[in-house]
Amino acid sequence: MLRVEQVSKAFGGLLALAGVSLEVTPGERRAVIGPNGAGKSTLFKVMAGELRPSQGRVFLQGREVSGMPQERVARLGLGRTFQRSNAFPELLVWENVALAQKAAQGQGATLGQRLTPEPGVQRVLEQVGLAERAHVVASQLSHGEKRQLEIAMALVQNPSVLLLDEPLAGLSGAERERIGELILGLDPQMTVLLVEHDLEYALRFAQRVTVLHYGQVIAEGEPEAIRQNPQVQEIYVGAGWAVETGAATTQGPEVLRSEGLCAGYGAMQVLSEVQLEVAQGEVVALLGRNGMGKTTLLSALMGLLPLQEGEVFFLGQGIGRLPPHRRAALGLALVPQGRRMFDGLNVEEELQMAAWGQRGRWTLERVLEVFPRLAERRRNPSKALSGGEQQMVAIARALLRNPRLVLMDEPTEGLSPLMVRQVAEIIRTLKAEGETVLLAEQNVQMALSVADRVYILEHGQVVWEGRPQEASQAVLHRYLGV
Amino acid sequence: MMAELSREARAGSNGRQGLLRWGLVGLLLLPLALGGYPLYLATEAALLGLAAVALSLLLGHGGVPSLGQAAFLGLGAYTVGLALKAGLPLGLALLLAPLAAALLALLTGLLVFRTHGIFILMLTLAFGQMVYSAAHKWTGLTGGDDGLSLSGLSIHPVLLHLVAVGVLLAAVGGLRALLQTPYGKTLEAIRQNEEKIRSLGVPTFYYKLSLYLLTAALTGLAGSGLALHRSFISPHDLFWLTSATLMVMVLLGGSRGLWGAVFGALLYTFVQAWVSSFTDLWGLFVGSLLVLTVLFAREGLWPLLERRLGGGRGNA
Amino acid sequence: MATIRRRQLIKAGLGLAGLAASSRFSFSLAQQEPIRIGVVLSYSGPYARLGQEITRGMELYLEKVGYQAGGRRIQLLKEDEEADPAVAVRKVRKLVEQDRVNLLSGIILSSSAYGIRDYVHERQIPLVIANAAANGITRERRSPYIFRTSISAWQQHYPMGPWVARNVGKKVFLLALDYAFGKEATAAFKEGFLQAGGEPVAELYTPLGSTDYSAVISRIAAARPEAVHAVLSGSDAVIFLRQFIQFGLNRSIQLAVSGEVTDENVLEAIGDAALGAKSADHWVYTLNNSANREFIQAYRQKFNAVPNHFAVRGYDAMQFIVDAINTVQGDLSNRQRLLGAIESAKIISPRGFVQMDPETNNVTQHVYAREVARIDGVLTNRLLADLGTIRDPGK
Repeated sequence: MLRVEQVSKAFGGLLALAGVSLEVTPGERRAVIGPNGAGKSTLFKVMAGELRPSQGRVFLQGREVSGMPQERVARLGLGRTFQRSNAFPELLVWENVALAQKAAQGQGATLGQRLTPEPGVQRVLEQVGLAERAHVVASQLSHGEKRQLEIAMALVQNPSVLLLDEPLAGLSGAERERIGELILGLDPQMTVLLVEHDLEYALRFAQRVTVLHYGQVIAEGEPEAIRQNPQVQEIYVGAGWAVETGAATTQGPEVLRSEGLCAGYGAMQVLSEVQLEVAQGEVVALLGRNGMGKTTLLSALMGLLPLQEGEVFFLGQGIGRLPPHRRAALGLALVPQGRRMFDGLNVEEELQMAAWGQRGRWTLERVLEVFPRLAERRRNPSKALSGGEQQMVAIARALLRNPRLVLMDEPTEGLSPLMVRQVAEIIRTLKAEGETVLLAEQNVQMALSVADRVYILEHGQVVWEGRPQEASQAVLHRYLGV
Repeated sequence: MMAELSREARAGSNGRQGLLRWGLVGLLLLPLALGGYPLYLATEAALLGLAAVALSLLLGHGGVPSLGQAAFLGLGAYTVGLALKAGLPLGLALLLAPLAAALLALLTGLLVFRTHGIFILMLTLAFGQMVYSAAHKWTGLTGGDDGLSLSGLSIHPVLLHLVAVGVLLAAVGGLRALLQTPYGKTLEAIRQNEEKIRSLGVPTFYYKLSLYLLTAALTGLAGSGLALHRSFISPHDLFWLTSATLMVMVLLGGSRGLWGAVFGALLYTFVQAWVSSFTDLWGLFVGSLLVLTVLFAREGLWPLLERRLGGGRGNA
Repeated sequence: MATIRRRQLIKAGLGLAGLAASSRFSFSLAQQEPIRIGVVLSYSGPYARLGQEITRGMELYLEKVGYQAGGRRIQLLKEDEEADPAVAVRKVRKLVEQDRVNLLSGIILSSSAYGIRDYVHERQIPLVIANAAANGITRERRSPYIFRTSISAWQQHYPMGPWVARNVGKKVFLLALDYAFGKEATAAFKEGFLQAGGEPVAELYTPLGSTDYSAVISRIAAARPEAVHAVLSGSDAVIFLRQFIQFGLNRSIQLAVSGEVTDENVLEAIGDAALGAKSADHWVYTLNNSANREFIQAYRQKFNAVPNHFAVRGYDAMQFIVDAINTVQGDLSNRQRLLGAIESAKIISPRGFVQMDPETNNVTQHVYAREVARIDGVLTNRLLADLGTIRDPGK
């Protein structure tokens, strides 16, 4: 039905897909999983014709489609939904669906009559549960309804192959349930490929699973085999981490506390009623699967996102309404996801820039002493460093502001297992130096091995808190899919 | 269920909105009773209104920001002027004008629609200025700066006005119906989310190009009308300021629904003519009006009127 | 000459009578409708300064005669041409159809003049053009209703050709703005220049509104002419002159230019560096006649500034109109008589003796060679030579 042959896709120097091959048979349910940055979305874009592969070919029903513009691939029977739902916000719901139908019939240019809601449109709206909302302007739909509309638009085209790109991301419990059921109930004749971070759901949905890592297929097979595959476990969990079982360190005074914190994007609420505490000298880990609100929480604490409700106390002072720079001045530092090195600066210049105008326990000399690796590389351009070294620079930059609390957003993202160990070492070093750290992390085992306390977020709520050694397999499995 | 749904879709305008539109048509026709200068201005407004309606369709519904409409307006004007000079009958000359404009749109559109957003603005502006330069330099054909006089042509002003208003209303009606067809809705969809509609299998390039041709032809027709109306054509009609004036008309009246463009053209023409008799700083006045509109009635003055007087949401 | 002096006396007498009438018998005067003159000039856009100067000249003359002519009050109705011929057409229609003016005057752009020509001709409204210089206005497109009291491009530049060939140099670089006036002016200059044995070394047209003339100047330097004949106006003239001097070309190459280039407004922006530049025009600050002295004094007193030829053009346009109204004694009902009065008008202008040519409806007048000089602290042009009475051939 759909065949991908040795597809590579490079963005500049970055190889997002490195020789991916896969074949999907008619009517198959296929899940494509893998950690962030593994190349899943890129693979979908190449299949759909949105991106042209650097190498390799894509066949749809035996016909080569690589190199065709995406509208032609779509007309050949490939439907897709996007990660961010995006319909036509100013059109009515039924108009959105009717246009998709006309497009599939090649009648988009019809001039003779008005666009009308034909029976097919109505049927699909009923199928996805949007019949009641047919005359509403699409922008007024809820987040979940927009997903339903997105799926309706794909279904009305009656595609032979349907690509679903993270259809559950960012949905709340009830909506998640509804969309999840909708996808499981799709016409079994249709070939469906799914990219999904919710591992549990992906494995339930799929007949076969393809695992991508660093742009390569590292495993393919039936769901149960994939679940057992040690390589997959290593990627998702990280193996061989020892959880310290020593007695709890005596708690220092409170540094940060959030009370009833609610935040989100626009009208959409992502975090609800988050209670959180960090004490002096502690490393606190914030765990949760992708899209559960970890980055959103750090952004809200830092002030990059306005609070919808609740308050944040920092060193006893309410800071919930302060702008980010004021919070930084008080001693909050964020190490953002993705490290963000400056172009054209070397390591020393990066650090000098961060240290400029600062006075305190962390100086340039002290940082280079604690991170001897950086001292060796001080003249190298920061962009040429390895991922782990870049993470070191990013953390060092934060330390040079002499913060009272360091917020780290997924420092191990996209790093190889070896590098992950390096990052863990850095965090231990900070702990030894007496720093206070709030760490949002996907690598559960690594986080458990460095943390004093753990919070688990699910759908924007704290569902579990405790010490690492108290986190039983059952807890981890239930909330983190491990 | 479905019948009810389509009925609701069809019931686009309620009675009071219709009344407002009739009021606008009345304003366009009223100068027939006055004759003379008011009639001259009203014909000018109706013809510029046709060009503004075309731009409104292009900008407000197709999402194509063009600053090169003056090229089509001027080309239409010169085509009709040169055709008449060459001894062609008026009917044929009036047919050639929109065709010439559409041809120019085809040639430039093939390049323009390889880009998006601000680059479309730059490219249309650049092409417009190229046509302006050509008209300016090609003195043998166009008369250059001195312009082109259409002496000896006399069309009764009342007739010209009736035809201009008739064409304008037919254009508004026809284009509004067009916007309800799958083609029209697809254009709206392209403006709102081009990647999505492409992923649904719509070759957007051809939709945008065809829209561009259509609006260019209408603008060329408006230009040919202006040439007959003024009996004189100058390269100034091709200058980018003319494009900007059309843009101001559209933004004042409201870029969606097409009636707004008619209202904007009428308002701009009369206010400008009136104010500039009192003060040389008329530009300041028109500018302030635009600023106030953008600040307090972002959708334009016509939707504001529709809401205030018509008692309903503007139907786009 | 004697007849003219008599005419002046009569005019002065009428003026006095009018003044007296306006103060003592205002009631009786009010019953007679004022004569309405519609004036279309650019008051906004790139030619706003021209419009302003011409208006100043017009009002200065009307004040001189107490806004009276032929026993009737005169009223000016000003409209902005906006440097757009389409607007000029519209404004003329407004003045004629709504304001019911008796005469029209003004018009900066030649394209405006062409644009309104047919309408004015059909409506038979007398139009006195106070600026637009395109030759065709009083040649192939002339109308019995359209008069030009300023000057044609040919008239201004043709006589300069032989004068430059004889007095400045035979090798001249021709530079002009790339529009109709620049081309007509250059062609006229070249015509006379070639007849007198001159050799143009190059001919270059530059776009309007350039902000940098260094490329043009390096081409001039490479061509090594004895002089440059430039036809530029406004900001183009200022920038060209400034850079010409900055690059030091004024030490080896003479400037023999159109009168627009050394217009007093331009000189104000350039300063003493332009001293010695020669130009051709129909008015000179230092012309030694009583009308000029009176004009300059009145202008300086009223506006506290130095007048230029645009002010003179406005002044004279009104002088012609007032003269004609006086001739028909304020009775405009017979249009043919009014047209005849304008056709046969002769005035003593600040530029000397000026006479309407009834064949072309373009004025016959003196053209002068001038030189930039500082006179009594005023940066202006002084008279070098009278190039004679010049009549536009009309074809």
